[in-house]
Amino acid sequence: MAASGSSKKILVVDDDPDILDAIQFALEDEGYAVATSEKGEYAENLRDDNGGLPDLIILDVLLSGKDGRLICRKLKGQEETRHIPIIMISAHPGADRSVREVGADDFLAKPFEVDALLAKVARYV
Amino acid sequence: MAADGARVGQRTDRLRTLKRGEERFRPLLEHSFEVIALLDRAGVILYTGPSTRRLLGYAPDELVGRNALELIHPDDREAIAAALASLLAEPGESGAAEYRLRHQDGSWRWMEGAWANLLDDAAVGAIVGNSRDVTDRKALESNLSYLARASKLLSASLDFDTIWRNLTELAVPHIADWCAVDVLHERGVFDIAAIAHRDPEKLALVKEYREANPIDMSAEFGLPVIVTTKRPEYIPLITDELLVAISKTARDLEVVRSLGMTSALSVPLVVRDRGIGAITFVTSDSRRRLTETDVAMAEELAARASLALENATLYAEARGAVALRDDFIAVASHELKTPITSLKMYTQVLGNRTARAGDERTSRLLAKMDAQTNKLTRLVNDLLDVSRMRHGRLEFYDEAFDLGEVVAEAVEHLRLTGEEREMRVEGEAARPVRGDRDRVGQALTNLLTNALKFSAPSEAVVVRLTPGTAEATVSVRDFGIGIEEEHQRRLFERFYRVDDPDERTYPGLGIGLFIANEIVTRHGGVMRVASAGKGQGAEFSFTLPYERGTAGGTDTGDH
Repeated sequence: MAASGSSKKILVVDDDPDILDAIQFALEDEGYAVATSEKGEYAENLRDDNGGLPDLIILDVLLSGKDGRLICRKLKGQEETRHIPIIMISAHPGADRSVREVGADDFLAKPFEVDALLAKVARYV
Repeated sequence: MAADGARVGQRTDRLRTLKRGEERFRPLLEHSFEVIALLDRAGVILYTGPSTRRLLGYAPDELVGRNALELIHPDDREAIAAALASLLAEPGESGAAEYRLRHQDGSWRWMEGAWANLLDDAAVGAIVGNSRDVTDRKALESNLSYLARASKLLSASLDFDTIWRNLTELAVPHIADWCAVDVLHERGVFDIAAIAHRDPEKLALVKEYREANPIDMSAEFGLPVIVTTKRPEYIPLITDELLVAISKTARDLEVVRSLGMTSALSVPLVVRDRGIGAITFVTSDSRRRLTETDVAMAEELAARASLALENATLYAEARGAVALRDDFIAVASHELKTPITSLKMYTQVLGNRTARAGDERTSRLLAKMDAQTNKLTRLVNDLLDVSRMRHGRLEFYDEAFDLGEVVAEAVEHLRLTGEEREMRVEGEAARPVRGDRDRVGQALTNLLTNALKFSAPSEAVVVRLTPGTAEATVSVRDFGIGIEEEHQRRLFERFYRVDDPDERTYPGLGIGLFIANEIVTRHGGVMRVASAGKGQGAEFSFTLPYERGTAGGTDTGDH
């Protein structure tokens, strides 16, 4: 796998700590560098300073008190963050269409196959 | 001339005789509850008894010389004139009739009269009548039939707005000239639920006044008090002083004066012993006032309205409860999927690690664990489906598709999840069928899963497609433990589980089969089960309609 200095950075945002944990395991096993956050604000206020922006964001649709789709729309609307691919996840399969409308690059319905997640990540990162 | 004079003379004599008779019978006549009258052949009043004053307000002599028909209500005149004519046709003929007579004060009284043609009787020589005032009885009859109609109308709807509308229609103009319904809002203020006025022009004025004068919740009279005490407020006569007292501005006074209110009544609406609002009745016709009878009627009306409101509230609550339960199931399934998601990921990550490390045995175990999480996921989705189905909220698409393809996909899908037993597909549908491709696939998967569950490892499951005239048949046959006849009937009930005394129960047959049956039913098909009994396996089959325009033979077009 790629050396840690040049490994891709993935930001995972979900309000469930166990899902964050499991996704982190799955991605780190594939050699990615993973940052996690339970709070939507962290993703909303992403800035390109010390540390840089992630190479991909995995974002939950339903965050506690926040709609992940609005965060996606904001990030896609900002010059700085527009280029970052966003894969949105949700327990509600019907969310697929609505996340595309806010510019998400892809969607996965929970519970998903790890291989499916890894395949999509590899595709966009 | 002389003949006329003789006739007049005769009549005068008769009247004198009557008068003398009257002296004898005066006490009887005076205390009579009936109006006694004598008419000539043309209907002219010759005489009325002393009770006339008490009953109709006229001095007895006042009516002499007038034509009785003049006193009768215009709407009843024609009928009475006809009755009179038939009375005149037969000497000695008698008859009875109901009609309205004008009281001296201008009001109409319903009378029930019995009349006899005694014109040819030497002693009488007139048409004789006894009439009784039945105004109250008529009013009672009318009120009872009105209340019956009110009950029917108000109980016909469980929708609040319809109830308000019906209520105001019943109130105006029967009881009052205008009517307003106020409902106590959760916030503690009154909302106007409905206003009706007999005169559409005045309706605008009423609205203006109400809007300019929202109800003061701290007031010591009026609606707030009525609703709290659950007692009505009755103002039999509205005076100008009262109008001045309730008007805050000159415009207000102008408006209420032009409304011409003469009397008012507010009756509380009580649901489950709580005052929830009030109906206000107002008369604005100068000749009309709300009477005690009106108050009673209004209270009856309010009671019926309250009952209707209580039913409507219960209905709304029940629906709310159902909606809440639906949401609960939706939320619950959402929540259930969360731990399943991480569980699945942990299992698969472990599986990948052990596979990479070459530990095949452990990988296989973890794969089995993963299969179980898939079953969990299916059950959770089934739960959601059942809830939505129950409330008619499951979406079904309508398209033409190849049934053979869907069968193959279902088999393949099960194969991918690790099913190793033989699943054979035989036959074909021959033509495209119509329905929801994914849902049909779901039904098939459920039947296949059941079939596999109850078959031994060595037994195969056979899916057979059979073409028909208007529909195709799919059957899923297993050679496993079979189903006894007594259980076959109840199999499709939602959570029916077969309990076998040998403890070989059929777990999970419940939801999966129910959903499959619902799907098939929604497609206009029928699901059937056949089993020769224990140990003989079972066959589940269902039909699906062909795509319209492709069916062979007679196609009625109904699906």
